[in-house]
Amino acid sequence: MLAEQLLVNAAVLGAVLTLFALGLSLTWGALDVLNLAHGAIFVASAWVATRLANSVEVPFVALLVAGMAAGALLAVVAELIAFRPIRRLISNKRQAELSMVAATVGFGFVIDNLVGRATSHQVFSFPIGAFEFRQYDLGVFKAFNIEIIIFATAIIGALLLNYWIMRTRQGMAIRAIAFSPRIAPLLGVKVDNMAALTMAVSGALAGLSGSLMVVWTSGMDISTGHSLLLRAFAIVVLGGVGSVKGCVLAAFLLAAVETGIVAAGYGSMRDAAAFSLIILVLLFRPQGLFGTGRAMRA
Amino acid sequence: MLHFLASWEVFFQTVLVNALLAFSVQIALRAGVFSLAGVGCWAIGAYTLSILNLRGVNTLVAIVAAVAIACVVSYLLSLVLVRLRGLYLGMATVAFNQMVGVAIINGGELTGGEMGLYGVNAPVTTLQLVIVVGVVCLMLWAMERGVLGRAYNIVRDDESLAESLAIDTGSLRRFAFVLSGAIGALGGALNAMLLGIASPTDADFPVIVIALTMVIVGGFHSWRGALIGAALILWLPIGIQSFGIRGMHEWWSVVYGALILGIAVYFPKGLLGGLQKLRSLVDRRAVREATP
Amino acid sequence: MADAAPVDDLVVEDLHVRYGKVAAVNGVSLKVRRGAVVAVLGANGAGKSSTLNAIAGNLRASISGRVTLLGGAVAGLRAHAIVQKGMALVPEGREIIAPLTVEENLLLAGYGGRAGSEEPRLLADVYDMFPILSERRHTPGGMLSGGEQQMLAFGRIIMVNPQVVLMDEPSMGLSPRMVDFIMRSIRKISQRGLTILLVEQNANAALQIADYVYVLDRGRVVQEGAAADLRSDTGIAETFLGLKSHAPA
Repeated sequence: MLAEQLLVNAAVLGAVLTLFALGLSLTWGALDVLNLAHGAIFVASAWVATRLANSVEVPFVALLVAGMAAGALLAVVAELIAFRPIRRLISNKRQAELSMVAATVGFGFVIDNLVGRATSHQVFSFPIGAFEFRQYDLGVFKAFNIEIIIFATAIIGALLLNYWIMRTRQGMAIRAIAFSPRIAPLLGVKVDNMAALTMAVSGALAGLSGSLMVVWTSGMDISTGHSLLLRAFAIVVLGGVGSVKGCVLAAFLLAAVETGIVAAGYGSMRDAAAFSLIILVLLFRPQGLFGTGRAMRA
Repeated sequence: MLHFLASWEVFFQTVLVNALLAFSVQIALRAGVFSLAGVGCWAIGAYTLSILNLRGVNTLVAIVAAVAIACVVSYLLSLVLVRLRGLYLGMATVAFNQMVGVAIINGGELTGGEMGLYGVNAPVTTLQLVIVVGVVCLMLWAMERGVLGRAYNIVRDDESLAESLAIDTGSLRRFAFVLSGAIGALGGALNAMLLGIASPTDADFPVIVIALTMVIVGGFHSWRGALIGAALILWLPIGIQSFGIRGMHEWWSVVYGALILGIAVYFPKGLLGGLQKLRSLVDRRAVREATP
Repeated sequence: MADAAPVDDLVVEDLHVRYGKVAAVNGVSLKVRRGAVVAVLGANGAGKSSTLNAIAGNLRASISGRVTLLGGAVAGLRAHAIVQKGMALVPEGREIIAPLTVEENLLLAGYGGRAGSEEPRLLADVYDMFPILSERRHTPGGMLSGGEQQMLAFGRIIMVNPQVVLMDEPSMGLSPRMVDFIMRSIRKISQRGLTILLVEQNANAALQIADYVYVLDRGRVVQEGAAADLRSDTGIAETFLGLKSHAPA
């Protein structure tokens, strides 16, 4: 494969990973919540978009919106049935973490199985003909319209997210909650509402990346979600929890490394890249490239 | 696994072996070490035993080798991950498990690659399993009592407090780590003996989920919780399916997931913790009624 | 300072606070009149902080008793709801949101509180009262000095625009000169019409600006009265406040 095409592949993969990992990083940085159902939400949203495309003739944007809505909805459900009660009922930090892991694993399990039933546990893919693929010759390399869309969406998404967090009142509130969930309410900040909003945005990001990915790839199933989750974890750890630019950089870096490994013929070792990255970062620079270091506490 | 549960004896054996998996996670969590590396060691144990057995090595020797290798690997891993805590430690150990999986798949002839290893011939009787698990339970029971038990409690709840009490938290944590790996490997080896195969899925995500679930549902503060959890989680699919409500058996996985979710949130100390709370409530009522 | 029709903005009746088996507050009752500065004094561990935090809804403990704010019951409400009802807490240690800048800290308080359309005016007031904050408005909160952080904490309260302000040990960790400045600032805040209930270990400083005083010992009110009276009653001052028997400064 030409090096230029590899570059395109890496760029698109990086873009999908960026959107997905940003969702994970957002809730982890802002709410101290590691949503292990994030992957299942990704797959479920992709399935929703696919089903919609199969049933009705709608513009592509509508499909993306549907995917985002599905993701947001599922994430808010997770907030209501898992994270909120844990915030209320469990004060010990260690205990809360453990319960959160178990609860999201359970929730993800349920979603995985519901999607599995709906797809008869088969790989599902975007209906042929629902999207008009076109290839453009950009001189140095060739790119499909979907690839350009994905890349642009990721960059715009990252910029919007950063703006929201750093420049709006809601973003201030979220950063305040991230720093101290105890103090924020003393200033009148409604933590529960902010938490739900943050989860919704996180879920929407998962849904967006899922809907885009399902168009780009030949198909996906539940295991796609698991694989992405672990890679997203590696990305967030490498980039630094809560840092948008760290996340973006780390996502593209991982995508580049993985693409390289596959191209060099070691496809079965592809997943080792993410895992090795996790161990290396945690050993030598646990706060990641741009992390605040705060999240490294016990 | 469901095909295997044809007879209760087989079910009982499965519970015993999987109890070891649950113990490996429980012993770590109980010490405040969020390590799921026991699952990776389960796979290491399964493959070590299978590889040695297929080459004619004596079963007992093979088991000892499996546990020994897991101990060494766990010890090294504990040194590498010494500074990590909580979620970070947890995910790092999950990464370790996945690495084991990758190594297995890329192990060529030795590990049978994607297909795994077949034809392991090392039969084990139910009685032998009971004895082994019994010994492990005894050991865990002993570790939960007295000074060591209290030390581990403090290390789990407040590490800096433990340090200020001159408790060697580093050693205790490493020990828990290694023991977790050892028990996991023992379980994996016995599982390979029971099933006659070793497969790359032994280090996969679902196994991690199941192990964690058993401990969460049962309660991770004590080995009893892990045992209860193992039995319950393995029984659940059968139990739900046998309720016979039309169409219910298709939804067992949803019930399963909802159960983990519910217990994790509302019974953070697991069923065991819930039972203890119930007992203390009853006790308190008895005392209140006895005092005028 | 008798008014024509004195109104109690805050009434606390028979407050009990227990952490498990330990009782920190054993039936405390107090009243805070509109516009007054009321101080709660006592030695370390007397239950002052627990009382204040329980009133503000900032405590995870077993709480019983009645708290009436501006005529409405607020006991048991969550902290942010209490803020919406008009009462805000300046916690011990200031608790500035470190990664946010001075201005962001202030705007956040405006966002969550009852400022509404008054926000720009309130912000101008804060910068007026504490010019240093205006100079350092883009500095992250974590990089301010102790005194500047206390000013920011007060600024936030102004932005929240409550009627009743609770303050937990505002002089803690500050130099005597700063303590002076802080006490004067509290007076200024009171002059804006706000009602203040403050908890202090530094009895001397508190007595300078308080109108009415409650003295706590082991979770109970053992003495109360106008600040002026307490200042001149040397017996009380020595026994409960550890003050030397000389005329107040």
